[in-house]
Amino acid sequence: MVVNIAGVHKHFKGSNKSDVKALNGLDLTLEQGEILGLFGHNGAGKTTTIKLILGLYHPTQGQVQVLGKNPVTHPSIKQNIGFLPENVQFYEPLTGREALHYFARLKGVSIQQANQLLKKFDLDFAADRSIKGYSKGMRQRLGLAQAMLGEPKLLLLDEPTVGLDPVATKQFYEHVAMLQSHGCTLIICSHVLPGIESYIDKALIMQKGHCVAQGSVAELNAQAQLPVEIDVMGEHEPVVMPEEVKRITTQQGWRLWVPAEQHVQVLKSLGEQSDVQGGMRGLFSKAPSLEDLYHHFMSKPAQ
Amino acid sequence: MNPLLVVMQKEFMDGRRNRWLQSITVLLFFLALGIAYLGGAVAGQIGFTGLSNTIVSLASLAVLIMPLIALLLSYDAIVGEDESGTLLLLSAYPIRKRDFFLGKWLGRCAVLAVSLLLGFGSAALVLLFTTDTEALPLISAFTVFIVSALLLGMSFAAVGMWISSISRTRTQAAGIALIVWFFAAVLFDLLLLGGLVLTQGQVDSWLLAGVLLLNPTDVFRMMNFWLFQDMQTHTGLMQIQQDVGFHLVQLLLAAIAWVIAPLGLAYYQFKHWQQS
Repeated sequence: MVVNIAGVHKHFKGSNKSDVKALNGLDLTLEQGEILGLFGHNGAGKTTTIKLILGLYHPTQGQVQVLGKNPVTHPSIKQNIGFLPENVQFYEPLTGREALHYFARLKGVSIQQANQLLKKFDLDFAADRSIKGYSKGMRQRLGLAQAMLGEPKLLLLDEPTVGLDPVATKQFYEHVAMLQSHGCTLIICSHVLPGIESYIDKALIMQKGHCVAQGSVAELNAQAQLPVEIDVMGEHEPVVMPEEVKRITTQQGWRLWVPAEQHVQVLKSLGEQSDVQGGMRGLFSKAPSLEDLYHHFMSKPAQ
Repeated sequence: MNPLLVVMQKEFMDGRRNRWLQSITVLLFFLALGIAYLGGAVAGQIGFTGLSNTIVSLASLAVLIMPLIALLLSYDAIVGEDESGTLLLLSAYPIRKRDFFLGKWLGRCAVLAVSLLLGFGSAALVLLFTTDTEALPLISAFTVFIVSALLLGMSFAAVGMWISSISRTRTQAAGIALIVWFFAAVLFDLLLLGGLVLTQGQVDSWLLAGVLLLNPTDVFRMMNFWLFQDMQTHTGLMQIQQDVGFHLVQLLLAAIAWVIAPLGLAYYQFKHWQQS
């Protein structure tokens, strides 16, 4: 097990004598090669979880084990951890190469490996320019290269795609897939959901220090039982059984929300109607996205 | 390479990159030569007016400038890294807080040491070759001067590290640094002189001397006046040093204590830094 968090509470001393309960009974296990998406609003406890894994905090209660050891008492495990914090500004007057060499020396990693990482993350063309002139995407790639120094077994990435354009985001996830293929375990903290679901094995949704849902996207789907969305484009209003299916009219036709277990049957019936009535220009069905699941679980009160 | 040395090297190179090193060196060089040749102008003399005058005048200026330079070099050492997020990033690296902290401080001390050596050292060489001052007194006077100025700088660099560890923002740290500088370099002596005038000098000189030890800038001045104790150059508070007569070794120990104490305090603050 790469990460094992069992019944962890973390409370901080607040300003007005009341404790701030950043985490309330978190359980989480991660096996080698798994990618976890850690989701929640600001203040949900994502960064606290990361800092506990890094051994920067003692848990108020419960156990944290990283790579089989307590991260507070065994800081040597940091040799095998890579970290990319949110909104980090690397030493701007330095060149990308100088900054990465500095991090490499601090981690006891060879300069050659740093140079290879610059190549791998398509930064060698700008490696000898100062970071001040780097685009957001280049900075983020430099951050990833930094996190990859020393071939870590566990990577913690906090909001890695904030501010990235869609192309850079896609490239970022390609890099993530590449890391996973090397056996790396990843934790990706995010509140930006589109694009991430096909890359993660597990999602953990947090709210106010509580875990509100945990599991694979399929498991969350089964748990939430969200209806499937079907768009019918055409002039004739479709006849759907059961009658109570929620529907609205759209510019193109109708949108229906069908219970997950009935959606195949409904699609079949709609298909038959398109033959009979004609005039149906299109039929689209969309399974609940991670974003839908996120909103569903966030709207439920925390346990 | 040891992480402490890695951090120290980077800090030193940063000092070179942002031209701190070069600027301080040039400033100190011209300051020393300017005072050596023009320091007597107030008294109606032009040209080099002797080693003791030069060192004593130079000490009076360095006592203002060295703390300011050291504070400017160090006030953002910790809070700057916190603001840019690299402090949190480096907390995920397998390096000890102690190594990181000492590396940051020592890198700044190295910038001070090199610019002091180059700036004042080259000024001393110019004086050696252009005036008829004897080599030995000149070298020993400048050695005491450079070492004491370095200790003063290291002490205020440590104070700057402490300010940097208690501040939430760079701006806040800069503000505190200026207040500390103004108090230590300007206000402290004024208050003490004011107190002397009010009590009409009816204060035990040992007590006063003890109070002087509480300010590293006064320790620095006493060290440099020590070499010229027989001169009639003592004015204001330095008269006290002449009355009490601390030995150079005692003053050196006081100066070292003024390096270690703020450094220890700063490290304690840094170690218990709650990252927000």
